Amino acid sequence: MTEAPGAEGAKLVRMANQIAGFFRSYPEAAALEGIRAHLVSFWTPRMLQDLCAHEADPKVDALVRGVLPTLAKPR
Amino acid sequence: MSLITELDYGTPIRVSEQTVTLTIDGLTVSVPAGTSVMAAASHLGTQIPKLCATDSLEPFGSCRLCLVEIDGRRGTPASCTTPAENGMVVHTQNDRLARLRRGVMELYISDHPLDCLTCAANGDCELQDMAGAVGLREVRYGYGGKNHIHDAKDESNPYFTYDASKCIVCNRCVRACEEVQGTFALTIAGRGFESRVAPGNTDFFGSECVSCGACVQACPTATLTEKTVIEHGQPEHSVVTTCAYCGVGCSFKAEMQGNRVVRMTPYKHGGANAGHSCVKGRFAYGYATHKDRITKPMVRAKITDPWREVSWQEALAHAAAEFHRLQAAFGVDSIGGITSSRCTNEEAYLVQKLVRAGFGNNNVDTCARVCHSPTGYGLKVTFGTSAGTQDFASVDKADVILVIGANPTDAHPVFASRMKRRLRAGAKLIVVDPRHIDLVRSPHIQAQHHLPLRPGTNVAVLNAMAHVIVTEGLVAEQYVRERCDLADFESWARFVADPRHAPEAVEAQTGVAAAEIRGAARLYATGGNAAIYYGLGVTEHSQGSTTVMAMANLAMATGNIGREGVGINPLRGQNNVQGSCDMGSFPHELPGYRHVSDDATREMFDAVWGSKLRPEPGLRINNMLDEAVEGRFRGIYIQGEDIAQSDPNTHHVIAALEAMECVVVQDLFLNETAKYAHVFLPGSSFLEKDGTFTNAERRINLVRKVMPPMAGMADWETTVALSNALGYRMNYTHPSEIMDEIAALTPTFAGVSFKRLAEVGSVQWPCNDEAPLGTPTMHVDRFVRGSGKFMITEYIATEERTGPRFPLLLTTGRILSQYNVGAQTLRTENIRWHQQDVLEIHPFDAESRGIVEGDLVMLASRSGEIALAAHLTERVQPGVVYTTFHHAKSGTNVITTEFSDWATNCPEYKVTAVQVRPTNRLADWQEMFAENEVALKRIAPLAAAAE
Repeated sequence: MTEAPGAEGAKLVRMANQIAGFFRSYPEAAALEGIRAHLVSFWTPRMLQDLCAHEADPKVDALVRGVLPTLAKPR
Repeated sequence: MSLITELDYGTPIRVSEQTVTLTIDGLTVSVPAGTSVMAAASHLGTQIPKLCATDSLEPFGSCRLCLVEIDGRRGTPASCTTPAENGMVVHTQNDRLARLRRGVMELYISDHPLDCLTCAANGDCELQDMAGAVGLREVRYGYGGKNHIHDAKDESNPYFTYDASKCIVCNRCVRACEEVQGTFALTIAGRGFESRVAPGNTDFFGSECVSCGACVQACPTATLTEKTVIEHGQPEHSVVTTCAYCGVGCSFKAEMQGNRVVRMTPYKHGGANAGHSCVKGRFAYGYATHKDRITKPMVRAKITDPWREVSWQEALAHAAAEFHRLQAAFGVDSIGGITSSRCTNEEAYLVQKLVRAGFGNNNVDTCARVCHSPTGYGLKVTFGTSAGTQDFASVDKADVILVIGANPTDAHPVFASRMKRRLRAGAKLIVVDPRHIDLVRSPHIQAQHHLPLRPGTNVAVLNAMAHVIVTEGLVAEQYVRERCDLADFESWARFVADPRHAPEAVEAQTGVAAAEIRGAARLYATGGNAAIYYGLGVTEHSQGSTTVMAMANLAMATGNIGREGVGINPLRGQNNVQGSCDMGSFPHELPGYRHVSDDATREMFDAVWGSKLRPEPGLRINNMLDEAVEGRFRGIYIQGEDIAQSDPNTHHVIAALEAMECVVVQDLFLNETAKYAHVFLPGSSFLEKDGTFTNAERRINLVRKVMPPMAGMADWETTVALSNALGYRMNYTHPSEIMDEIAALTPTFAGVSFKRLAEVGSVQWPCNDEAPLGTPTMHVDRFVRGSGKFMITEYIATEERTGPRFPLLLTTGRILSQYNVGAQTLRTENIRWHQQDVLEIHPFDAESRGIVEGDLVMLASRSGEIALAAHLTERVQPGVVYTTFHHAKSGTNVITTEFSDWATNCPEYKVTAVQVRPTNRLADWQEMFAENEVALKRIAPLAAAAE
């Protein structure tokens, strides 16, 4: 059984978009902080790095795209 | 060691602030008002003869053996039905009473087989005891009269026998079925001499009996007797321990003959179960010594090779060398581990310690990932701690009980019995579930509201309830003002007050009548103490965490947190799933739910563990599997979890396992995951080790070893040995030392030790200097986080959508007789109740597809397809189908998808779009499964293995 290479990246985008979906109900600043804090709290550095590599992917939610620059920085 | 005997007070212990004082046989005793004369005498150590009375049941007054004399009263009243009163003067023994009692016993014995020496109850028979107690020396009536001595036995139940010839018609079994279990399966059929215990017009196996064992426990003679006792005889010693099935965490006496368990009997002083049991804990323990147990370590180079039995040393050295090789070649993060919610706290703690300190990463996760991880997240965000708020006894004070996404009578039966007792006493019931579960309507139970929502719409329904509460002015304003963050509350109130959340607005979406939602919301908000109980029907959704927060919002808005009778109560699935989470099994948290990025906490662990812990989260199980498929994750140590059967999208799980180079499985059996393993380390059952389990109410119970480990090592010892083989030293000689380390490092466990648990029975964490005996109710004066936090819970439909190809929704669950992946229960006689997984389908959906009862049907989703037998039932609504995942060969998780909760990645088992069609063959996956059952589980003969 094999799976298409790069499938993991698409999953990360979907997961990040789901997180954005929850925080979308909050004012933008709070939503961005909520998404950022959630990602940093629960994702490994490599997952964050892989997500950042999808910055140009049109499937990435605008709110997620908004936090990508902050994720690239060392914590 | 000796047999533990529990004092039977004859009638229930009453709780009252008032006491009454009376004199019994010249001695003065004070007891709570409402206590019977019989129980008052027991308090003095005076055992009044009895047969129909036992303290788990309300007094009945039928046997006439417990007669007493009371000054100033006529006759000889039954002490069991006579309440103690102030100033009462009672005589329990005199010549008149002795004569009366002997007369009663003569009547009983005149219709009883006199086969005491060969009777299974010999040595444990109350009838025999009472004959001795009353000094029975003759039976004046003789034995030749009409009798029941030749009545037939009913041996249909796999675990106990009903021998009518031994029955004295005391009614204890019938009353136990009603009062303790709440099933009402038994009755006394016939009148007068023809009166016999009957499970309806059928035998026990075919009846509504749920085999909880309450009737057997209550029987004072050999009428209802465990078959193991009939086979082996009476036990000679017993040990109190904790059940290893569900999250109720029942205490049992393992009653032994040497190292053999003769029977498991529920322990009256068990904090969680108070003397009750279910068919799994009471009877289905035979798996522990099943012939399928693997008791020798094994290794193999490739999964297609046969297993080779090796020494412990070789297996551990091989695993350690492989893990070292993988980390050297692919990086420190290329391996990880999974702790088990089936194992003890101490064992889970050691596995996560091994990963964090030994592997040097945080790639550790646990099976809570796929069940209650949203509970941990949602309750921590809103209340400040990742656990339920109450003890089980709290339900006794609930006025309104809201059950959502849980089927307690099947999955948590002992707690369900307690809940049903409260419902029969008048508490109101709201059930939110797509299926017509038993609680909706069963004997003497009728839900006031059943909200049969469309799977995946929990959040929409809860928001609609919140809408009603806010817009109809039902908010507990003073509570919210005093206890919660007001700004958050106001944002939330504005959110839910929006007309788009009105019950009428979501009716089409949820499938629930608006009037029902309004009625349920009003009842929840105004009916007195309101308690929410929930299960995996809440958590296993893409909005699992949102639903948990939505429930927390409801509870805070109505002031239903912080006292007995209320709360948010997760009914957790596995025996130690709460404990495994408490022990730091999640990749982002150290023991006690402290984030790995917290420098102070990490430094404390560094000092004790002699390590340098990483500050960033590790991989969750699903992340590990994804990275394995990508080639970045190469090895895993799995203790007591079967991800190949239990995790969603089996194709993906297997692809990931096949991609790994070193899979180490530690388990009782060669499970599904072991088919893809390279090292097998034999596990130990709960009977073979010491430790602790923590149940759904945060209760820490001792697990006690009753027999030596079959493979020579308990699971904690295996982890210690593996760690030492890896070069990370662990030096523990007993699990109590591990708990001492946990207590030293975890503030909520600071007061926990094996010594204290042995002294007080159990404690609920937090247990520390402030609460040395534990904390039954949380958030009493303030929330753990300070102010309760309302969260905005927008309903977002799952991405898993029905359509022309997959028009039905599949939801999965489990049933009473079986437990999760079936590794345990299918290796017991419980298999007789569930020989295959079936697909429940509504008759409308079946008819339109040309399906009739019992047809083989193909169940297909976007992930795969499997064939199951169809069962037509109106328990499911049109458009919804349901199945279980107990049999590995069914492959239920071939169907489920990788959609998961947004916050925790808990899989969305409860919503899968499917199609169903008739078929005449098994699915390809099922045929491959049959082949792999042989090909991937071969064990080389010893001679070949030695070559």
